[in-house]
Amino acid sequence: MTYLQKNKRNNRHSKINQIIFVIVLIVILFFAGSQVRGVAQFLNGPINIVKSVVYSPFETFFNYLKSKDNLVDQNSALTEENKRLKIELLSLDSLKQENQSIKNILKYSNPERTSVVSKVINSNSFSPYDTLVIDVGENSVTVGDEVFYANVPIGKIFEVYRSSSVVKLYSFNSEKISVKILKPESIFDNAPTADIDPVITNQLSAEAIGISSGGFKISVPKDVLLNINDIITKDDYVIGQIGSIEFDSSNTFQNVYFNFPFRTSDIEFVEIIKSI
Amino acid sequence: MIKRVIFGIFLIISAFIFPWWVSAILAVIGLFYFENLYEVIFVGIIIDSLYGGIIEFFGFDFIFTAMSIILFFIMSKIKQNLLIGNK
Repeated sequence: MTYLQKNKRNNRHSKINQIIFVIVLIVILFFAGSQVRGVAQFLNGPINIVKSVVYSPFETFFNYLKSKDNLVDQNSALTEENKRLKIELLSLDSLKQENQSIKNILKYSNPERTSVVSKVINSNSFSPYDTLVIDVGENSVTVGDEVFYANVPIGKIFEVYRSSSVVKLYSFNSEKISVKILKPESIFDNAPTADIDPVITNQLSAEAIGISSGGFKISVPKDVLLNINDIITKDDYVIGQIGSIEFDSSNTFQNVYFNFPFRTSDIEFVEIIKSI
Repeated sequence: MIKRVIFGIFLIISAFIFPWWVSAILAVIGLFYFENLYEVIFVGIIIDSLYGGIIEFFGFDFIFTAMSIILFFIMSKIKQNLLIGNK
């Protein structure tokens, strides 16, 4: 066994050089951090374009490795879900028409909104936080613009660079948003009676706290009766359904958990609504 | 030397194209295998730059950079004590 001899003088010089390098780096990052970020964001787009060009021929190759039975089962499940979603879409269309006719009666006009569609360069599965990187920059969006996917609000623009932006998801750890919990029956109720509006009485305002990876937690008093699959909305947009309810005998509150109705890692395109 | 250069370039590119934890694992392996792998610190800078400086510590929001610097020094100390040969 050969043991290496330590050269103390060289080690000391090397250590001093390392410390100086780190100090200079920290000073640069402290005073020019935004420029450094801009450079990294600038390089990110082209590198990921090359990655998708190189990777796309192999994407279908990995599907050949899945068993045939697995693919047949997946296909059947997707066909059934497709049928169910088509039926739900029919009822949704009639609700939209009813909503529009009520707005016409009340002479309510939707405020005009501008939207931008953007591709996701780096999904939140790549990020240590609940953030996405999208391919629109300062010419198209500004900090604070709300981001949607499949008509579900998922987050806001957090940082803007020349040709890319960072989206901070609402499910970011400890991020708080105001939501309403609806009873499912309120969606499908008929026209309200003269005295009671079922939409208003069957909703509970609450604060949802992000727990990362597309999940949220709401603490509500124990005496509030909630069910799995109760719908949760944010600013009249559906954001999820209750997935689980946790009771703690030592606590006067119950914890309600819900997720976005899709996997955030599967998001490929988003819509950004410009703030007024 | 060639191995070092290729690994360094691959490590920096991995921060752009792979999930952050893949780059972190590659960085730890590289720190064991190579001497003075400063590219690890650049990987921390890239991860902080790409995914947002959301968490701040006394106004410094390059948290992954700070962690990679600490890892760099810890690994060099561990390698000294284990008398691991450097490349």
